[in-house]
Order: sequence, then C-alpha cells, then structure tokens
Amino acid sequence: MNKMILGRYLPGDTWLHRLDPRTKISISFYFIVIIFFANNVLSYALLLAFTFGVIFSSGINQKFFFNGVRPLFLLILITVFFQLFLTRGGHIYWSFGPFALSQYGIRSSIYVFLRFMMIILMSTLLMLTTAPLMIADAIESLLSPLKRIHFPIDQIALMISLALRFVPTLMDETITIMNAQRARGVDFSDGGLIKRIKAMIPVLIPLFVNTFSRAGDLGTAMESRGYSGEGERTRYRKLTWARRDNIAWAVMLLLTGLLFILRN
Amino acid sequence: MDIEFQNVSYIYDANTPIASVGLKNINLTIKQGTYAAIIGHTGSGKSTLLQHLNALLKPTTGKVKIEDREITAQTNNKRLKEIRHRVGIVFQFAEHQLFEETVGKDIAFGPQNFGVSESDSLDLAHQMLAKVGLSDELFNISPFDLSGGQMRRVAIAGVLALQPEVLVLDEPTAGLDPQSRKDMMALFAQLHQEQGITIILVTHQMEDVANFAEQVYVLEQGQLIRTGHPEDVFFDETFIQQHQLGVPQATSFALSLRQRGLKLPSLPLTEADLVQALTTYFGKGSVKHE
Repeated sequence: MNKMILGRYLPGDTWLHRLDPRTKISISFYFIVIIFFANNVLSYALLLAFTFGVIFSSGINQKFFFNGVRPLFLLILITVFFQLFLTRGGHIYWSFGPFALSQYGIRSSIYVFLRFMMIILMSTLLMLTTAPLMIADAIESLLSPLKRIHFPIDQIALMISLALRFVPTLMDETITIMNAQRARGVDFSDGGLIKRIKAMIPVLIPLFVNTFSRAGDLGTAMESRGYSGEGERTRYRKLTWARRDNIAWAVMLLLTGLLFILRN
Repeated sequence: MDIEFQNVSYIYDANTPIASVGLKNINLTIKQGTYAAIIGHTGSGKSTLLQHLNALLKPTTGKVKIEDREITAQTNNKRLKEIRHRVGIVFQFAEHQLFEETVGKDIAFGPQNFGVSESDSLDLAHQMLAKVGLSDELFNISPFDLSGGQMRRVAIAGVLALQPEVLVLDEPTAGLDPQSRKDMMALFAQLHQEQGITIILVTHQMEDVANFAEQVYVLEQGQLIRTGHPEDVFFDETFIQQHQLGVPQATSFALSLRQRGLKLPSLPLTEADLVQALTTYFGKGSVKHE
C-alpha cells in the first residue's frame, strides 16, 4: 500500500505545480481524447515523446514516479492480453479455438498498451502535482456554466472537496484500525482469498461506523458555523489564469496539429 | 520477557521524496515486570516506538529483541503471531477497534484468534468485563450502544483478554472522565503488582508517570533523550525547562513554594510525598492529623 502513488499529492514548486489546475485538468482530458486519434507508428511516437518530455521536465523524482505507477501496469496487461489473442486479421501466426495470434492482434495490443500507459502516466502526474482542493476548485470552475441550467455546482464542488479532504484521514484510520486488529491476532496476509476477505470485516465495520459519525460531526460543525447550501460563496483561494497557461494550451494545439499531419 | 532496542531507526516512506524520520538510533531495554512510561511531545515518535514493541512496524535499521526473537527489517511477516499474543497493545482511542455484534463477542475476538476455544474465550470475556468495572448485563448488547467511556473499557477488556505478559498502553485514559481514569489506572497498577505484567505507558499525564512508573523514557524528535527514574527526570529542572516538559502537580507546587523561600528538604513526586514533605517542614514530623 505504501508504494501506491495513485491519488497522492507531492507538494512542490515545479512549473507543473504552478500551472492553473483548470489548465491541467482540461489538458489532461484533451490529451486523453487526442490519444485516440493516433493511428500509426509516427503519431504514437509523437505522443510518447510528449508524455515522457512532460514527465522528465516536471522535476518529479523519476524512480518514485515509475515505481509508483508500476502496480497499475498489471491491470493494463490483462486488457492487452485479450486484445492480443482475440483480434484477428492480417497474417495469422497461431490459433487455437477462439484464440489467435495475428498480425493485427499484435499491432492493436501494442497500441492499446501505449494508450493506457500514456493515460495512466498523465493522470498520475496530474494528481501528483495538484493539491486535492485545487482539483475540486478547478472542477467547480470548469463546470460553472452548468449553473445556468440550475445544476447545483456549489454543493457538488463541496462534496468533492470534502471527499478528497478525507481520503488521507480515512487511509490513516484504516491503518490504525488494522494495527489494532493485528494486535488482537488478525493476520491479513495469511490464508486463502475467503479467509483474507473475512479478515477485513473487523476493519470495515469500525471504519464505516467512524465515517458515519464523523460525517455527522462535520455536518454539525458546519451548520454551527452558519453554513447553508444557498447563497453566493466567495472564495479564499482564487484561481488565476496566467501566461504560462496560455503557453501550455498553445503547446497542446501545436501537438494536435502535428498529430493530424503525422496520422494516416 | 525483556524487550531490547538496539540502534533502532525507523523511516516512514523510505526511499521516496516524502520520507520522514520516525525514530533515530534508539537504544533501550525494558526488563520483565517493569512499569515504564514513555513521554514526549506530539510527533516525538512515541507511537512509532510503540508499534515496534510487537512488530507492527519493523525497524528500517537496527534490531528489536523481544525475549529471544529478533525483529529486523528482513524479518518475515509470518510467525509474528506469538509475539502479538504475548505483547498486548491498547491503542489510542481503542474504542475504534470494536466491531462485533455483542460486547462479549468483541472481547472474545482476540483470544479466539490465538486459538482459545469459543466457550473458554467467552468465559474469559465475562471475567474481563468484570475486571474493567462493567456490569455483566452489558455482555449481550451491541458495543455501539454504549457510551464512549464504556466502549473504551470494553476495548481495553478485549486486549486484557489476550492475557499478555507485556501490556502497552497508548494514552489509555485520554478523554475519560476523572473516575474512569482513576479506575483504569488502578486496574493497570493492580495487574502490574499482582501478575507481574510489564506495563509500558505512553502518556501526557505526568501525574500518572509520577504515581506509577518505575522508569521513564523521554523522546524528542525520534530520539531517546533521557532514561531514568521519574525523580531523576522530573527533578532535573534545567532538563525539564530545556525540553519544555511538564512536571507532576506536586512537584510544580513544591517548586513554586521553594521559589517563595520555603526551604523544603526534598522535592515530592506525588501528592503523598508533598504532604509528607510539608508536614516534616512545618512540624518537624510531629504534626498529626486530627
């Protein structure tokens, strides 16, 4: 659990940290969309070069970063496996029942692998360099046009920021409760699947109970300080769109242009 | 069962950019049957140290010897159960560990994990419930229907039911009412005296240290900066001031008396000592209570 960096934030002062969170979120989504336009070796090479360029220039500890995303690659490999053996077309090297190893299969599995890899690397980078509350602020700001159709953006943003705020708290609490149960003889790493799932019950029940009571306390605390869902809210942290954000988007548009030149 | 730390260091998130030092080069020995207290400010490494006492954490470097078992960074996670059976830990806010349908089942949960039969463990649960001063009527109700103080007692009973040789207590009385606090501390003292259980108490209550502990360990920023009898530590005024530690009320009362010119022959640690010192001072030992 310690090695996982998905959803972790590393405070820092790199150019990626300084970018406006709205830029980072919108660019991440934009990038995920344009990944699907790549369709040959050159266009994939371009996107890969971009991805690694961003990672290396971000100043994040490389070893920590790549060790941290490694567990996620296992998930991709499962998808790739199906892609590899269930796609037919071109020259067929080997086949057995529904499974076949074909020219197209190999190519598309490599492409799928690269796509997933780039998406995971980019979104991990986004989470690592953006404080959770900034993400919530950015989502609120990006969704604000929906206010026109009376979509409750404020409440949703509050829910997101509360949820993000309590992730580390819940992680700590899980570890504390697991330790308490370990001290009472529970062995989480022993036995078969069923036994391990059963071993989680003494952790999950207190965790649920505490979470509900904490949510209740939080609600009371907010109400006692006069919070209500209605009303215009001003904010303490203001998001500011700077020149570097324009530059970032200009780079993205340039990348898109190049991509469309290189693709078939 | 002696516990010995040899050059123990612990680093959180080792080998990552967010690595932070938990413990730095700790050397200490806690002999069988000692009542030890660990004090220090928040974040000084008390809880980290405590998790080394039954191998919930393994030292990054150095080794922890628990009787004849050596725990180092390489120690396998299996076969630690025996240690956990013999070293019981009551964590801070222990009531958060309750999960069973009934109070009795929750207390019996620990012993059952260590192979005690169901009926034996339920017998144990009845005994422990009485020991922590709760009525047997609570045995079959849900632990979540209890008050906070009762829940804490049930959680403590759940650890006592393991019948450990070493009992580690992490601020066991924080948040309890004064009477419960007294009861619990008296219970731990009784276990220590009658059954020779080693007690390791982590606390901010200097009164508890003064009243019960035989040995004090002072931690600061992950380092052990002082070991000694409570008198040695609390009466060392320069040390206490330097590290901004508190002293027991009786000691601080006597110190202010001294400042105002009262020449007390010796410094007291507990209330009883203080009364003794004052009667000696004023009546040269001849004052009698009416």
